[in-house]
Amino acid sequence: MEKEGAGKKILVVDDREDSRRLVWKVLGYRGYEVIEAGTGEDAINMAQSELPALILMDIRLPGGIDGLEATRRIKAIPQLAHIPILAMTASVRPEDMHQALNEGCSGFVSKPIDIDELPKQVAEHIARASSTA
Amino acid sequence: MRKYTTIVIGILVLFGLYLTSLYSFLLFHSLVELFSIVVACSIFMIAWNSRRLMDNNYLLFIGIAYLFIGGLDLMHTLGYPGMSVFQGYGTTLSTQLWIATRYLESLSLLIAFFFLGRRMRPNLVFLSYTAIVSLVLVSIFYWNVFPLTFVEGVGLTPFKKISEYIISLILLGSVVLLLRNRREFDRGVLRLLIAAIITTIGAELFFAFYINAYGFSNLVGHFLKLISFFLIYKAIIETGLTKPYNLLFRNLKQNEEQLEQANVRLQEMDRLKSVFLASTSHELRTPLNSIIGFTGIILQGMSGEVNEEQRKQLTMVKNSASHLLSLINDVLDISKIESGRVELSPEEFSLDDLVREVVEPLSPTASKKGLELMTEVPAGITLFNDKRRVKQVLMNLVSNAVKFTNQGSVKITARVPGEDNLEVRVIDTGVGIKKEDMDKLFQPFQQIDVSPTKKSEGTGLGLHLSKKLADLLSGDISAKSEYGRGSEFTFTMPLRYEEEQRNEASAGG
Amino acid sequence: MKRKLRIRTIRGKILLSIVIVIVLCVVFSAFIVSQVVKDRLGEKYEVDKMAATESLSYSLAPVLDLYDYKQVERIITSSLTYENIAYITVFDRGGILIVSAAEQNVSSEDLDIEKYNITSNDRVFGSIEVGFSRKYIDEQIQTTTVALISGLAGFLILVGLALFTFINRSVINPLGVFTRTVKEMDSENLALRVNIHSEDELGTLAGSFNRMAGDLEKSHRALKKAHSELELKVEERTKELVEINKQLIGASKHKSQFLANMSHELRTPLNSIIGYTKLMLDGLEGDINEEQQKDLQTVYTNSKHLLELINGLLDLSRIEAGKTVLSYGTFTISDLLSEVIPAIEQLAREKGLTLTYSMAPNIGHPYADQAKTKQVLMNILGNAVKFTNEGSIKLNVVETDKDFAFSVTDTGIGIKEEDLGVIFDSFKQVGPAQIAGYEGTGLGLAISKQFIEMQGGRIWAESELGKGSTFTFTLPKKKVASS
Repeated sequence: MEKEGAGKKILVVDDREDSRRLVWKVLGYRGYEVIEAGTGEDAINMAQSELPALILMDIRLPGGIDGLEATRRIKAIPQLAHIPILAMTASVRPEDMHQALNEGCSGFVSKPIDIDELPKQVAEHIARASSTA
Repeated sequence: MRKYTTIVIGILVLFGLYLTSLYSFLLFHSLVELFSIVVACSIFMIAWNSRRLMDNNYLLFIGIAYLFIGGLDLMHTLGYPGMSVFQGYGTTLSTQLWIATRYLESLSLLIAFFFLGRRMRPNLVFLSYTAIVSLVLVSIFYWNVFPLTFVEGVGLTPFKKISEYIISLILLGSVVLLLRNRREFDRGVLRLLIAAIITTIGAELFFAFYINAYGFSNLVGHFLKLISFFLIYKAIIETGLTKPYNLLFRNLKQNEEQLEQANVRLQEMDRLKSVFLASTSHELRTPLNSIIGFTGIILQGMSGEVNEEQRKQLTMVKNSASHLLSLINDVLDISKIESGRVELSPEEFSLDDLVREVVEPLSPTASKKGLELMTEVPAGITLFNDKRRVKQVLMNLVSNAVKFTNQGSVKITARVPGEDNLEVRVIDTGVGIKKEDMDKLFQPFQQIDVSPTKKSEGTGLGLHLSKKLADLLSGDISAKSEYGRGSEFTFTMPLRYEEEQRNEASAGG
Repeated sequence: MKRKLRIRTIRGKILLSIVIVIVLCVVFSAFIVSQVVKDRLGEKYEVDKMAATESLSYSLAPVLDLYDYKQVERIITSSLTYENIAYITVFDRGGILIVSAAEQNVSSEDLDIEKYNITSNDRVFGSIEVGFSRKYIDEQIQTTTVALISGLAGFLILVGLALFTFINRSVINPLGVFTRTVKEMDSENLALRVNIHSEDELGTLAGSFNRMAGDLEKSHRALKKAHSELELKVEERTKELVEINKQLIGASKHKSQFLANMSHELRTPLNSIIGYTKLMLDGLEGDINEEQQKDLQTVYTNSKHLLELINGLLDLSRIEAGKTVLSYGTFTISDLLSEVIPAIEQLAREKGLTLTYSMAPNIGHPYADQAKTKQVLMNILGNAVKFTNEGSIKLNVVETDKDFAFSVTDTGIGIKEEDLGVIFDSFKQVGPAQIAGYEGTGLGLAISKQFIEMQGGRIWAESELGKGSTFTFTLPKKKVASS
């Protein structure tokens, strides 16, 4: 039985190891190959080298490049511009959500992550992206 | 380029004056002094007319002083040997007037520092100068008390020579003070003032040496004086007229600067506070992410098998975590509302869609309890308000109804009494609320004990938050109940979100 | 324009200058004119004198020849009517007076006397003496001079007036407008503009001035607007923070009840999470595999962390709401240390670090809040252990006349210079902390700072990146007598 995520790479960007492992487990269970990045810079580099099908980006990242900046930069690279980016945020403020969408995110996932919702969202956004590609 | 033109013109003027001096020294002298007098009077005019705008009292003081300096210089010019305006006074007259004027000028430049940063009454200064100058004139012309400065055939008296040195020292003192107080002045003005004073010192030294009224020292001295007045002209007049901000509006400019700095500080404070606020919410939710997430993962068997006991406990952990999350969300929500910081994002949405979204997630729970979940919502009602908040309120009311009802039904009705208001009722056949508990209903953490055995779920903040939200939406929630029979919660709000209404609500809220 | 003792306006000055110039011109030209007129008329006079005498002698010659003395008299008398001539005396060949005629009221002082021989064809008939009076010529000179000068003066005055009017219109009036406008401008009145539109320097000046005023006005308005907006924003944010504080502490009616509720409400679920998870981790509910263990451990660690966080926040809010109560008491340093050292020693040993402490044997007893001081000490020592991977941690307690100083020195990773001030702010964890996965609430130091400063002490840090840090706090000595 083929799992829904077979052959699809997901890049998860979060500074906390726990959060990354969570995503890795939830999506990995469904067959996705989950690769991780802990900083904005790593995220951009890995996106370029791994060309994931979708990126889960934590909005708040320490260091110079935060989630939004990383999103902006990734979207600016032509080979990567088509990759859907889902913002992960612990904020419920509408303005933060709007900002994420404005910066190029295709959607967002609220933290704490609903482990049932997450795979659905991921699948949906990948499907949407490939249909418009 | 302009600088060169000025210098060239300056040299031409000086040369022309020199030629004039060859033809008639008297003419030369009159011209040089006339120019100085005109400059002096212009300085005064500018300073006096802008006395209310200038906050640099040094310049104001000097401005007033220069009127009188100009006046005395005029006297000196008229009394110059050969002018035959003042009969019977001899050569010493003009030199006496000259000395008097230079003392006045140097002392004024010095005393002016006293007024830096202090209050000054221009009228008082004006009168004082009038008095002093009158005294000086009287002492020269009538009383003949003023010391002799020139003796025919001998030359300058010691008094005159020593005075010139003293004056030079006083002027030097002014330069020092100017440098000490350089922060009070615009840089360009400062440079010009210092240059002017130094040139005057030069002039004074030449005047200490001259032999006769028409000699070379005298000539050079007058040239230097001319240059020094020109520099003062540039300093005060040009800056005053062409660069008003440097002189007249320094105050305003400083205010602007202060305002800008204050703004920067405020922005920084604002930023820090926002960051802290966002931090708090983020920091609280992040661990919950892991707690809820991983508990869920284990429960779903993604990490391995779980036995019954483990499953039970894990479920309890998960529920506790969700509860905690709701609590934290509610607290943060309430704080936000209370501080008036919530901005509603109104949008158009249909009521029946919203009700469906509320009811759907609760249906399983309801059917599990054997409850009938009914809606009587007329189609086509559109609202223009913050959908998320309205949903929050309805969700709270309906989930409460489901929670506290064990048999029967939960009905949601809606109608539009009047044109503008929406009324939603959530009617249940639940346990009801005792009369004495009705007051506590919307208070925070006042959970009504439904039954001693049942562990109360919910944060205890739900109704409190809903009430606040209702206020925010310019609406209201009220409750009716009969213990043992059921309860009816009524939620009213305007159909359309209006700015003014919101202001009223928050003002009264 | 009022005329007071002194002329204080440009208009007055310019008027004065023009007047002075006119006066000087007039005076100067007066001299010249009178000189010239004098010369000219004087010359004419001389010429006239000669000519008159000559013509007289010429006309007298034939008459004398005929010895017609009556005719001589007639000629002379008629000649007297010439203005200049004061008297005429005719002498014969021998020098004897023949006829003399003179005007009335003639004084001999200012008379010019011309003597001429009356001749004809080289024959001398006699001589004539004519006395010329300067009076007339002087009068003529005067009147001519005066007329010329007045004409000139009048002309110059007209020119001066015209000049003055012109200057008035093109310079003084605009300057006045300028001055008036400038006078009226101040912070409130930035909307004024100088209404000068001429194409000369004043116009340019007014233009630049207006532009600058416009810019100033705009920026001023923008700044004011930004300022009030910012003030509003900050106010709102502050309100929000205050509200969270209030909520956490309870500004509602049942304050202490609320506080108890809130703490309870927040800690209860957490405690149950912590409790159950521990149970399962210990295998008490059944076997767990390695992966489940890892996941459960994550849950456990996070919930402990969350508990610390909530405790910390509550502490902080309580402090900021002024709800923290200090309970002062005298205690011994050794007691304090005995509560703290064992636990830290354990942690240090686990990481392979050495923990040493020292204090003077006769050290005094502080009068302070023991519990809070303990919390601070635990926090600092805990941090030292956390951020040190090898080496040692040293605690040193010193007594001075003013206070007790506790310093903890470690050989840890150190702190960047620019972060030294920031570490005592809430929620800021510095540097590699997050990357290395260090746990910590970020509130510890903030709370420590509050606890110490509330007791009147100071707390600060010194560090060298890569070498280690020293955290020091002081507890001031208080007079025990006050209770």
